[in-house]
Amino acid sequence: MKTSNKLIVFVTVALTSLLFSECTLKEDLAKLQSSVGDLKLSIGTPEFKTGVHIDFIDAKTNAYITGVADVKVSGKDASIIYNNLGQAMNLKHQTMNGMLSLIVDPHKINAATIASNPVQFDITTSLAGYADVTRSVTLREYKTQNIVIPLIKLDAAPVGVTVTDNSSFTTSSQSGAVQTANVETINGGAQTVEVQQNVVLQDASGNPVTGTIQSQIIFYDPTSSAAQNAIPGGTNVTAKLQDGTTQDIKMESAGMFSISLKAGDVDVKTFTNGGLKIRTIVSPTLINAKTRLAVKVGDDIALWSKQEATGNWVFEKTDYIKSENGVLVLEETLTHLSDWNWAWPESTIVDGPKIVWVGDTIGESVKISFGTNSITTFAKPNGTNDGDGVYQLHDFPVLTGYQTITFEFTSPMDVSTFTPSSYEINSGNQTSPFSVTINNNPNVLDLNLTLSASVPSTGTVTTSISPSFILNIKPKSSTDPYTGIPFKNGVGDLNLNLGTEYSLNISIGKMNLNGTIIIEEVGSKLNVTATYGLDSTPFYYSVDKPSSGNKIKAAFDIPITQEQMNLLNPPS
Amino acid sequence: MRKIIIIFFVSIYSLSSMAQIKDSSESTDNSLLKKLPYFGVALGVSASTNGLGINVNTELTKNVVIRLGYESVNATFNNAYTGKIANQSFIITPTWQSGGISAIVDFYLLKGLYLSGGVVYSNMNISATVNSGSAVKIGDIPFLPDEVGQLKLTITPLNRLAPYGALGFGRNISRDKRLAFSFELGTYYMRSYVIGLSVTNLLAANGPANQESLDKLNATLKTISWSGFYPVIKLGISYKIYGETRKK
Repeated sequence: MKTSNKLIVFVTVALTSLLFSECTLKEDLAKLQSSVGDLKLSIGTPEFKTGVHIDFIDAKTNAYITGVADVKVSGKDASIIYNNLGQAMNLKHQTMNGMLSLIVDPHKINAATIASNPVQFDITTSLAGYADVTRSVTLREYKTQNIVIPLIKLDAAPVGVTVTDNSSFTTSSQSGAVQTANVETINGGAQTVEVQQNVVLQDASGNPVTGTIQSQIIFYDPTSSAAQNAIPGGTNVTAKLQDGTTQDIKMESAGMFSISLKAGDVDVKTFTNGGLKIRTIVSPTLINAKTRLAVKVGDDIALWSKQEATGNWVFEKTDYIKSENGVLVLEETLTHLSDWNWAWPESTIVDGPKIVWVGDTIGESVKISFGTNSITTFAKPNGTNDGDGVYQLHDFPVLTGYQTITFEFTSPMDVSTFTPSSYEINSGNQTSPFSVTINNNPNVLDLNLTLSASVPSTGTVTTSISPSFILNIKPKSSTDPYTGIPFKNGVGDLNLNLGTEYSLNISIGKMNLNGTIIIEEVGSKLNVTATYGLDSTPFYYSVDKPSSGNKIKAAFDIPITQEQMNLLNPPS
Repeated sequence: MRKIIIIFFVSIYSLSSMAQIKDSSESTDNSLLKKLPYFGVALGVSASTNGLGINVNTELTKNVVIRLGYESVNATFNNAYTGKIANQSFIITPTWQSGGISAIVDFYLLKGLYLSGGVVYSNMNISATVNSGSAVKIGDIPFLPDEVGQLKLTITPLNRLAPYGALGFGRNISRDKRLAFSFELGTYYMRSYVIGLSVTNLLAANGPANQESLDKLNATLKTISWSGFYPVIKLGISYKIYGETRKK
């Protein structure tokens, strides 16, 4: 054999040995299997861009309602409204912790056209011990809108709201005819509700309502801002005007009645052979929104009734203020029952003042207060944290003459200041944009928080869920409503003060979690402590203090039961 | 397995020996041709596990050939596998992307047997994309597979610039005629494979959630002896465009 042939044999054998004699495939695969065991499968939920977050508060205390209210969705676009886990719930939802988030099917809306083709629906809230409320919702923007619905507790109404219950208002015969005339007086006779004998009471189908008639009468004082704020659905409403057109208006009330008459469970809806007379004294100091002067005899005012199904108001007739025994009064005889309001309609501007946010990029939520109203919304400069840089007030009242509205900007989380802190809106600038600069307090930490939930498992691959949701947060000591922070696939940014404990709430579908979070400085570390659940199960996460800047990260995987997981990720 | 490999290499040796004997007799018969210069240039094409390629092969001496080449493959096997987990169907679409630029020196032990060594800048990126096979209902709202998103697992080299070694049969530039054929078995060594994960939409949380685990997996891969090898089986054909041919 030649030398070269020997070389070939040598190389061949050497290569074979080199490549395969050290093969440790079995051990290698075991090592890999061990590493792969740490992998987890995480499933998100869609980030619904358009929807409404509703805070249900007690109209008197401004605290979240503690009971579970039924919320019925109806109206034009009701069929595309779901809870924030995409569940239609047959259009019947329930509040959790006094809140409810509803979303619009993302396939049924278009970001480019929603302004001209808004989503419209109505929500009717019922809670034992409170007056029912129907509120119209119009979504004109491709974002989540925050609204507050005050509920009037029947035995603890806010100032200026008077609730009168009478278990025996009158009685009616088999034909529905009132057997005994009666006058219910409110506020020492300043308001009366009167029914005459032989007026026939009928239900919604025209059938007679017979037996003992119970009454509940609620009157909203037009001179009380608390009472006006407590009006179900608010005073910015959609109304069918005298000329037949439907418009968004602001109602400047001179007196509003909400009247319920029923025999057992049967509601009286209409009257024949007469009606129900309502009467109110009008304060001479009340300003006529039409003339901008104090009311006087002969002033005309529209009377409106509310459509229960839609929450919209309908012009019924024009009444005139008259004088009786030296006092100004309004009175009318009603032929059907609903909410009734004597009010001057004021036009509103669809696209009102536009606030342009500038300044610190992390941004945060802002409470915009004007008049007796307040809105809590995101204040994020353009291009940061999904911020679109602007907040525009819609259906803003048209300001005329000397009228001004002052916006005040405050930080519900106490982590920012706003410059200017207030801004006057008048007839000259009510449609103009203006800038507000956000300055974060120097000690504020920007916590990038990752939240997931999983069912503890002994399997090789853990499945967790990283939902998209709104995390509601507020300083624990604050009585303000929560601020909503969007989390996408379990990740969101919170601006928190060091050492301040915050209350947290997460509501996803039918699952509700409450907890707290606090960041504390311990030596060179920042300890993030979060708790959740009834037993306040604590979670700890420690990070190094950032050497520069204020950004830190934390992650919590919350162990949940399979039942809770099924609520988050319902089995198909 | 080991026996099969040994038999394979013994067979290669036998074939090579036969080629050598034939080569020796031919060389004796054509002793005058030995005085012709060996320098020549050939253009070649190849098909291998590293893709389809083109190369320029330069024979410098009787035993040394330099090859400069480029190979590429980017093949997607749409919907290659459909599976189901808990009533949810999913589709796997693998993509085989490889290739790169190479500079290789062949050392001919015999006229038709050579050892190769060199470097390649690898373009390897082998991936598998997992998509939902059907619409997914979130609550009562159906979401199309595109809206659900996808999960893409990738295998890339730790070092794209990788050494290459191979054993070859035949020639990458013909000595006697214009046309030459070759068959090559070899490997790139890229230090280790790197597993990557990219995710979108509803599966987006898998990225951050698994980053620590992926780091650990990649660290494990670095400790595994065969991690980073890319096997090459190559067939080549070349045409000599410059230089003498020993058989007219």
